[in-house]
Amino acid sequence: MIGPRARSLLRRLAKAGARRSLAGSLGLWILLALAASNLLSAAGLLGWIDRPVHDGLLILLLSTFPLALFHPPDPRSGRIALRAVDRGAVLESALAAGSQDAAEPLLRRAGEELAASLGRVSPERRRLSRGARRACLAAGFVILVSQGAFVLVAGGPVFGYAARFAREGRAEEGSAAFSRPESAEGAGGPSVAEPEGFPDTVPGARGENLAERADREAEFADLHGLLRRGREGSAADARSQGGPEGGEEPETPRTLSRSEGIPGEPSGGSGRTGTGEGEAPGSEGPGEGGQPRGSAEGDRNRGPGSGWSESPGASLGRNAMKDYRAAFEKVLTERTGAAVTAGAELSLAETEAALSLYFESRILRVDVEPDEDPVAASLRSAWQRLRGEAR
Amino acid sequence: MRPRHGGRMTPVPNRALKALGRWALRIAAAAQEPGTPLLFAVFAAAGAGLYIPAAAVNSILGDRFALPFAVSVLPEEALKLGMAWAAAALARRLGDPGKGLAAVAGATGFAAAENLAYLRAFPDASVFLRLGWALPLHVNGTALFALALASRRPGAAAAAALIAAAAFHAAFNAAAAANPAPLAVAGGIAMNLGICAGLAFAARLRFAWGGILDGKPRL
Repeated sequence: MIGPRARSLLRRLAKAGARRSLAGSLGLWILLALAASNLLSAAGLLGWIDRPVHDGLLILLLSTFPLALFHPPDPRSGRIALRAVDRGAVLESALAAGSQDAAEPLLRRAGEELAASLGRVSPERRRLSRGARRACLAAGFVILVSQGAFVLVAGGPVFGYAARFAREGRAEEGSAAFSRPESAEGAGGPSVAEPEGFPDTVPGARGENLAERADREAEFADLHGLLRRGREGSAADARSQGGPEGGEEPETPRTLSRSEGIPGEPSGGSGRTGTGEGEAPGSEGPGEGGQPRGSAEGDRNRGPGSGWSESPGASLGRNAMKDYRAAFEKVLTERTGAAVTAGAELSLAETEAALSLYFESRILRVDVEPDEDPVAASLRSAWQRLRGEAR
Repeated sequence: MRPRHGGRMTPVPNRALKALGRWALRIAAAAQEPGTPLLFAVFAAAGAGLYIPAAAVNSILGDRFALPFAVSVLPEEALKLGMAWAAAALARRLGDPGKGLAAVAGATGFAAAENLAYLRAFPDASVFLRLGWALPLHVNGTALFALALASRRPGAAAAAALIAAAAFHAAFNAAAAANPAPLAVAGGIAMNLGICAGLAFAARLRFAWGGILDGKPRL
């Protein structure tokens, strides 16, 4: 039997040992899990695994978390810690002594004295085992190397799934950005392989096969071709019909406060298509389908394959929506100052105001004399005369 | 080819094969030790396999009988209690009560299989939030069973643990069905992880220091 002081000492030792052991296990698990997740990100970036596989593996990896906490402790660890403190085996003797033993009071008193002399003692710090040290070093090496490679290849650190940085991957990302105008990615810099958010929450979206994806990409490329042709065609028509003259600055709606896109407008629709030189391109609106809006003449040459991006990452890959937004925000900021920012939200009232402002500027009013037929005029006057006489 | 002591040359593939063989022997030796990762792996696989009958039973109970959450969690908890009992029996046979925590590996396998099934059905980011709820939830219940079965009165303690785990599980299921706010989800995750850490702490105290703190050290 042991006294209260000795018992308190033992409790303190046990709690400190358990805390330290748990912290060590948790730290090792975090390091190893981080290294493994970096390897998964690298595999995604290299195109070895796609998102569902990555997510499944990540779930399995994170599921090992309780194993680190509930790893069975060495049953001798408490005894070892006790003996490290109680080198004379005083407490052990007191613990082993039965209540009927003659030496029990003596041992108990000795245990209490020892506990009082030890005061606030903490268990010895145990060094990491060789295997654990090696695992830590390997994990640290993997994390450093992989993140260094991500910075070099992708332009920044990568956590989570990163799409393949091949050309087809960029086309896919570009088309995905059209369907997610509210994502922060669209407004971000031109980094090559950022960790992507989930594309959508529709379960069927994941089942898209390669053929469907290829169709989407082709549609995306066609869309740009159509847009450019439409812009050039409408501008040419306007010029041939005596529209706004070349050097004239067209009217620009000044009061649009947020995004100027038209929600739900089909691609290549009215938007701000072909509105003249130097006009800001329309932003993508949050409408259904998220099709792209028209662009300005100033951006006419900013089509795929025409050197449309001056951004540093342009040589690695191009993203239509990022350049589109960047150009739009640049012009908008230049013209409206910092008070106005391009956003993704657009209310119905703002849309109506934008539409009325936009189409008002295109109303053609010509004051001309009424061109009346002399026969019709004489007939009308004859009828009026007859009606007056009849009355 | 590198010269050996007698001047003979050993092909590199032979050396690689020998090294591979040494590693295989080490792994085999480690697997034969009681309580090594092999035990945990077996329990994790068993837990993952048990998810299928548990999901089937839950589906039947939910669809045909429209039973409430409080009842439909019982099959899962009973399965986990069975795993904990098997692990405790094995631990007693091995002479190390701490091996009873292998049941937690079973719960981990169970939760991982469940989350993978959810990922397949709902492939979006919410599955990771669900992981934060479901994984500690299953693990906490099983750890509670393991601790109860290692106590002085395992029968009564296990019955109390079953009721507590089922109630906790049902409460979380009901909360999840109510489409909670993000703050509530974060709070649930924090609470579950806190309980998980507390149970892990208790398990370390029990299985490493239990005898000493009880005044009955196995010296």
